[in-house]
Amino acid sequence: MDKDLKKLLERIVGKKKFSDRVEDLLCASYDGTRDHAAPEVLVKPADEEEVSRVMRLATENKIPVYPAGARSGLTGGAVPEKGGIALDLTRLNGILEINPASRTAIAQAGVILGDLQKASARHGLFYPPDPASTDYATLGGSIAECSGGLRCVKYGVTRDYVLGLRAVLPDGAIIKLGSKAIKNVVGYDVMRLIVGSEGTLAIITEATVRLRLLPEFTRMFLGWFKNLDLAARAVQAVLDSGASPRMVELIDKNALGAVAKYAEGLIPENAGAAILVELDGLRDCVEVESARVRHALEKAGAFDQKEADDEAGREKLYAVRRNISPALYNLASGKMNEDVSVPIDRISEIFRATARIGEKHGLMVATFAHAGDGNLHVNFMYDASDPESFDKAETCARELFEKVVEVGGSLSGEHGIGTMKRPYLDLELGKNEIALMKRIKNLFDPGGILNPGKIFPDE
Amino acid sequence: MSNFLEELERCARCGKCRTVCPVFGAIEDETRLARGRIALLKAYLSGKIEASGDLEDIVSSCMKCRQCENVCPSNVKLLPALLAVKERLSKNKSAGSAVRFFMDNVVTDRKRYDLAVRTAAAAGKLLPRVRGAKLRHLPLLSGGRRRLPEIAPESALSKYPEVTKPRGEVKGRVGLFLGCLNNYVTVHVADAVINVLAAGGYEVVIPKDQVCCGLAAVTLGEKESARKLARLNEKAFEGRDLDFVVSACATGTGMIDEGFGEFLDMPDALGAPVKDFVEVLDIIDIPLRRLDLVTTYHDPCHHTHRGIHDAPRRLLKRVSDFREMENASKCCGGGGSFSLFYYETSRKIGEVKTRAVGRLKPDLVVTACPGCMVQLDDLLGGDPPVMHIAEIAAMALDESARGRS
Repeated sequence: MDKDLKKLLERIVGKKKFSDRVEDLLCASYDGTRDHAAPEVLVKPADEEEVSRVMRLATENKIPVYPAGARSGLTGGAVPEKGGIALDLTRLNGILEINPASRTAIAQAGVILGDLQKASARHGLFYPPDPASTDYATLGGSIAECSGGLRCVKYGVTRDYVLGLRAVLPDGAIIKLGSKAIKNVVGYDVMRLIVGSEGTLAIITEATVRLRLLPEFTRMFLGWFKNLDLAARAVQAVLDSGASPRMVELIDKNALGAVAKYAEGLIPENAGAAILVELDGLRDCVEVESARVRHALEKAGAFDQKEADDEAGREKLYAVRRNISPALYNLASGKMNEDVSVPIDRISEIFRATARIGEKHGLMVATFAHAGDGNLHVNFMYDASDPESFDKAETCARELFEKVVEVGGSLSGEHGIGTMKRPYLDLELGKNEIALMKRIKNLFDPGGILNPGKIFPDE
Repeated sequence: MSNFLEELERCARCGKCRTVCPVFGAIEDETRLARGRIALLKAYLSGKIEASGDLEDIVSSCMKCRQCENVCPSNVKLLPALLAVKERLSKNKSAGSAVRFFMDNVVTDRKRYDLAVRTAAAAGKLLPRVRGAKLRHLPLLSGGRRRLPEIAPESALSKYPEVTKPRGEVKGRVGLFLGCLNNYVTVHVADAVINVLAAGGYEVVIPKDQVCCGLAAVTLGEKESARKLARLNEKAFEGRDLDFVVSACATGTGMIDEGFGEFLDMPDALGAPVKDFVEVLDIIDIPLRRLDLVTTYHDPCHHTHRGIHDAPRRLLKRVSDFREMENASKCCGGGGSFSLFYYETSRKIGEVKTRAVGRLKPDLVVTACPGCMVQLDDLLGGDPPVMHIAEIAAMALDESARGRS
């Protein structure tokens, strides 16, 4: 990038919010994956207007732009693969409105999800999407990736909560889509096209989102099973029970084994699988639903059940699930976490397949799932210092993806494609679909400057 | 250095440290976040970037609070690696820096250190008082704007004999490690600790030859000075036949317990288990009366790292009207020498405390680290007062249990 252009960028965002120092560039080179590439400059615009001016300049000069929030994405979406401008949106961090009557919030892209939650809670409301990164991920990033989380089985995903967006197109034009109205069928639903577009179509600057009333009462159940089949049966039984759980998590034996080593006394010796169920709502309703859940767990063969209502108690039960992530590093130094999604009735089949694939290639594999919505997190554990071991993990991942597509599932439930799953895109999407998507991309971004190269493999 | 590189490689770059890193919270710069620092240390250790003023500042501006380590899902230990790089960077600098001279020749020699502190105190008395407070301790380091406590007229080490016996039956024999602040500045904390221990039936041994814990030296890149200090402390506590060693400074406890092994390869140098004063509260049997006070508690970062949370609250609930403040375990921004070198950032970090205390309006803010006390007192301007948990315990001691023999 030439000096004049750098000067112009510096003029837009101000001296302190522009940098081409190697230290800053290195710290804008990554996201939550092992992928990385340094940009040529880092700019931190203060508002939508500055974003628009940066984009106009980038379009005129054909410079790639890589928007980023907290850089906590899990598929390389924010990595500046081709240099150019790293566009840090965290300064757009205003919560502009919480409207308790219409149950909506308007917030800028750089707002931390957890801060939006806190602000909503003060009005007795909450924003249902809850990715594990809620405490640090930004609203803009989570909309661009269409984040899910633990409560999707009842509440759905980010897409279901975005009512309106403001965004900047690659040429600098500002667009405004949707409104506070829940029903809206005017024109094409471009807003939902931008949700989950991984920062390749437009730069989200502000969102109007739907909130819900905080539940009056919450209860968590933990059920222990001798083996996975019994636990999978329990998942189905809970979903068929008539209760409407917000969370149904399933954890396999290897994941439990890792936690057992990490946190003593948490896992019973003969446990082969566990499920966590959470109900919320009016107290009386939860009581009625609880009876259904208890019965379902028992009938499916739980050898032990635990329940907790207060937050501390629920936290204690949830430790089984929360500790998986750190505990996995006790199994191996590298973790390839694949986020696949399948029809609910095929979950146990995928669990079995992951075990088989791991065994075949000599890798430990630990799997847990947002079972209520068929979203699995499969972790192939490899030796980070051994390239051969890493290759094995990649082979495992490919075999998993093939199996997932075979049962009618999807490569990614909530992490996106980015750079990490790009090579596998054509396992799920056909030639015509990919061609159509590329035409859409071209329509938004004819110059190909916005997060170029993401999602689609090079021809 | 390769083992440090390996440790840093385990960072999964998830970004969770964004939720706790106090420096990042104040200045929102990824290079001043654990994840960014790890990326840069990795690049430096593997030869991808050169040492620079920037890199040095990136290392120095870490508060060493270890909050990132507490929440890290991959359990990456940043601090040992960061301190090793700091040491390498300062070794490469020309010899004879003021810091090195001070650490190596003054702090390691009790007489010289006493003299230096006395001189600073005397110099401080010549300066005007700021904001009606007592500003008499190295005031120029923060541009003279800072409210700092007075240096005590008599240090704890010169005030107390080597052995203080309890009045009644002797239930145990413990060593007291003072550290710099409790020795020179917050001597009232040392008084309280000795009172409480004696009331609980402990014979308190205060080895005269003990010195600074050495964390400041390690932090400033002077590991050799820190080793010298650790060896002096080792000798001072040797053969004392102690049940355990007590420290009433959260940072000092961390250093003489975990830090000696982790940073200096000198585990268990003191020859007895180390307990923080708040950990002693759980095993000590003392009669306490209730105080008519509304209290709140600030968790020192080095206690959070040690897993301490409930013990001080149990005491406060027992003797006072305890109310939890928001963000109780968020850093106050003190961080020892950090607040001297990065005063503006330090105050900005501390705003979270000013806000929380302001909303709660307690009679007292209680903590368990003299470093936090100095910082909180500066932030709050003396209203409400800040006290060490040992002072609360001493205040609540029943008259019958008070005193030493």
